[in-house]
Amino acid sequence: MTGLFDSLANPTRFRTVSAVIRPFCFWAAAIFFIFGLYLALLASPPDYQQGDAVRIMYVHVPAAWLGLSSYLGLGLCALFYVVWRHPLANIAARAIAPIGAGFTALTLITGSLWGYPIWGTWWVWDARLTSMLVLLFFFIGYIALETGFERPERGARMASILALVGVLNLPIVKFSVDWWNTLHQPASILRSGGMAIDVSMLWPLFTMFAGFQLFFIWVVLHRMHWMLSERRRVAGKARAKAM
Amino acid sequence: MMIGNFTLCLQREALLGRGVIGDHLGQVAFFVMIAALFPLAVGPSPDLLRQLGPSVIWISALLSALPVFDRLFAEDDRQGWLEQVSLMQGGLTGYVGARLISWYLLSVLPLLGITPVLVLLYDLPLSSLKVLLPSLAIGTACLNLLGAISASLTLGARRATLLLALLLLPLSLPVLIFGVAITQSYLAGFSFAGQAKLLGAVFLFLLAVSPVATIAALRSVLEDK
Repeated sequence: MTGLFDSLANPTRFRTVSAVIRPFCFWAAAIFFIFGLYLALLASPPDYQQGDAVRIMYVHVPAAWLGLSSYLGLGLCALFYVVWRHPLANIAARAIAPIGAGFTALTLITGSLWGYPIWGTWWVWDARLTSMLVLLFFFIGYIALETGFERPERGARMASILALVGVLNLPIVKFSVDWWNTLHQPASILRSGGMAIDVSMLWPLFTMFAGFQLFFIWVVLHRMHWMLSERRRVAGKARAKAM
Repeated sequence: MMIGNFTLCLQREALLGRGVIGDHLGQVAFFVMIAALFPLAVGPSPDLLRQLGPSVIWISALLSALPVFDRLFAEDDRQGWLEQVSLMQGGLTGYVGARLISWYLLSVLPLLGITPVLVLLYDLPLSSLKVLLPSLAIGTACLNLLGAISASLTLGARRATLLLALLLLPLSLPVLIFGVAITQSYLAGFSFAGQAKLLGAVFLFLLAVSPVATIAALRSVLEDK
């Protein structure tokens, strides 16, 4: 495993490998999206209580999963960067941050669109909504710190430390907010004692999740590729200037 | 030895402390002013104010700390003391410990001293002080530990004060939630032991994490020199 990471950590080799993976991810994501949207919008049944509004779930839930796992990924990249000083880990973290923030924002937006017909209000200060909002604040803090310095390397190091502190702190924030108030329906897929969702809704959800995940990988690899090219261009310019 | 470095730094803080008392008195004035804004905004109804009182005091304590936190390490960085102390035996550990203790005493004691006045302004029972003051003492210690992380991370950034606030406020949510809950439970006549233990747990967690993160960030600052 370490050997694989080490060999991929070479930016040039990474670019070669990612150039192969990217189109695959793109087309696979497109297929999963088309198929998933068909299942979610047409083939799956409406909820017996919520009617067609339940279809928002097929965007809302995958976005929430990706928002959360992006922050975890950000923390992991930060760890790699702080401990092993891996430039590629920093580039990955920078590539993930705005995408994760976007998914978190999408979760909040679709959640409030879903909440209005079901709960009768755009926003309630419920535990899960509030923790998603805090997660968005964490992403904003990371991006603001990462871009807040004259020298980008310093921003990268400081933001990585922040991401590590954030990953440690996020469970505490989550716990405190849960403790503070719980109105939201409890988690219905990942919970002990089996799932509380019908199989006819589960398949479209997993298909959409696969589409979102592949799309996420595609965007992040694309951004990393772009950042590496940019870095190379700047380095080339500096070298030309020095000569 | 770290201890030698620590006592030396503590002595230095004691000597320099007199010069910065003005900053912290300004912070206390800010604390009272924020608390005085709420009645003007929500209306003077005593019932409402009694209900909001503990929350307002906590939010004021949190916000009033923001504009001074960027000075936690900035002066010592500018004057080269950070570099000097990192070359000493014991390094930054003793320095950060001494700095945090002196900062805590200078910023929190005046704040706790003025809190009874706010309790009167919000018509809370004076007996609530025996819960409010200890919980504020622990809560502000948590805020200082989080502030140390945020201040060291934003050292030398553009718009450092704004950035610091963006980092500190989301991190400080658990402190705010548990801190306010202690006084509110007391006022409602319930047991507040659970909340107090949670706040204590947050404090112990931050005591373990904050110095490590702060020192890592300060080392990064020094590497750039």
